[in-house]
Amino acid sequence: MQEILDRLNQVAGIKGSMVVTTAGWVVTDALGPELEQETVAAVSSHMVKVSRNMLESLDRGDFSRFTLTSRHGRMIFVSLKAGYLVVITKMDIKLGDILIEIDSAARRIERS
Amino acid sequence: MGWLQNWSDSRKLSAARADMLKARSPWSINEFVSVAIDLNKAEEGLQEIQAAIKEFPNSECLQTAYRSLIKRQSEEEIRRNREELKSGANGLVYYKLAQLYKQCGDYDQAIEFSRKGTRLYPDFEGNYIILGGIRYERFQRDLRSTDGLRAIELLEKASDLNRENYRLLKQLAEIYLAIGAKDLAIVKLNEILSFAPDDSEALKLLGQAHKLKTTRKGGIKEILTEFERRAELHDKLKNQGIGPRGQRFLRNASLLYEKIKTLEERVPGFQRVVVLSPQSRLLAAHPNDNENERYVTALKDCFEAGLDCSLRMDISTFEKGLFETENGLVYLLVFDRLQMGLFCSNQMRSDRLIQEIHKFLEHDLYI
Repeated sequence: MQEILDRLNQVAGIKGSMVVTTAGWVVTDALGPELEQETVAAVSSHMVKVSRNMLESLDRGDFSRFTLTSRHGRMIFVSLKAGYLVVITKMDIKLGDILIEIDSAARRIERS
Repeated sequence: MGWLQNWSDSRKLSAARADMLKARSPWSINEFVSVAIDLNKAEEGLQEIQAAIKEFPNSECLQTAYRSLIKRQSEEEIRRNREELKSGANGLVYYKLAQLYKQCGDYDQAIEFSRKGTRLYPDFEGNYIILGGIRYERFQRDLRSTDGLRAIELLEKASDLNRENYRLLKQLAEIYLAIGAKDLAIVKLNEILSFAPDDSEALKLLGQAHKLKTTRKGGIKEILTEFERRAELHDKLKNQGIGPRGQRFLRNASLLYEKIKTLEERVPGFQRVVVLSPQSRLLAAHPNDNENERYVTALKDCFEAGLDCSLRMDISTFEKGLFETENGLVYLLVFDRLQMGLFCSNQMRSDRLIQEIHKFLEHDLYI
């Protein structure tokens, strides 16, 4: 799994990635020097929890992918069987290309 | 290029200008600029965009187009500086590159170069100024005391390295004045006056500083926290920071309702759209039924979490969130501090939805 994340991080524009369980435990991560594991895990868990609550309360089902865009960066959450993959990217990227790489990494994580 | 080609290009550009003037909006201006670029008339595009940014300050597509035009113009200089970097660099080359990327709006690269510059050449002040400047811009927009504190730390570090940098000292004085740190502003202005005793700008600012109330006890951290609290309260009360588009709909929610109703025809599989005010109260929704209160509660929490997540991750403010679920798409957007949630089935592809909503926000909501 670590190898998959390390390879994913080599894609231009990706700053770091992490696999987190539904309960918020970090399974593995490959974060760049600017990102702190504790912060990314806490922030992601909270975001995913609130998002799932929102979707459930509005009868939308669970998300397969959630792309959060802020002024200076993006976070992409991909749902896995027992948790989720979170990827942090730069702003100046071609999102379509990166999403293909992220989905492919998520599939490989599921198989690993 | 022959005269015939020139004539043909001018006609195409005039036609594009006429189209833009029919319904002037950031989106239509952007279309005109694209034509200008295709016809190698980027200068005309740049002029139009510079004027339009003042007219539509919160437009995302104008900012993007402006940055890409500047990037085109700076390409050669960036390439030259990158070459210089390979053949033995110094702090100044990192500074120049960071500055160029900052102008192009590529903050990731600007931060990367200036950080590397501070690491490799810690005694050169330029790269601290870039980092401090970026942090200060973010503080001005997001009003988070942590950003303000970091900006001041970086700019003060630069000031320690060069005690006679006029622009830097003036910037620090202005920051201190803006947050109400009277004593610190006076110190910086006196530093300027020590080597430029007749400087009219510094004297003017010193006059303003003396008129301020005495700084409360406590360090810069406490002053910034107090400033953040006051600014937040002021924003809430006065709906500050909302552009003309948002102000228009806050005054006239029924006009917003008429606009969002059109999404039903434009978005295949449309289910619902809900717009909240900056205070997270229902402003308009379609369909307009009893279900909306449930949506307001759910959306409010999610927008709050998105904002909190973005700020804690240090990627500035939350702008968009797209959920792809087996039941359809949920698209959250913040524009002019209004919050919009759109719900639709999977009938429409997510990239098409993004394009359609982009045009709706940047064109339809402006005309």
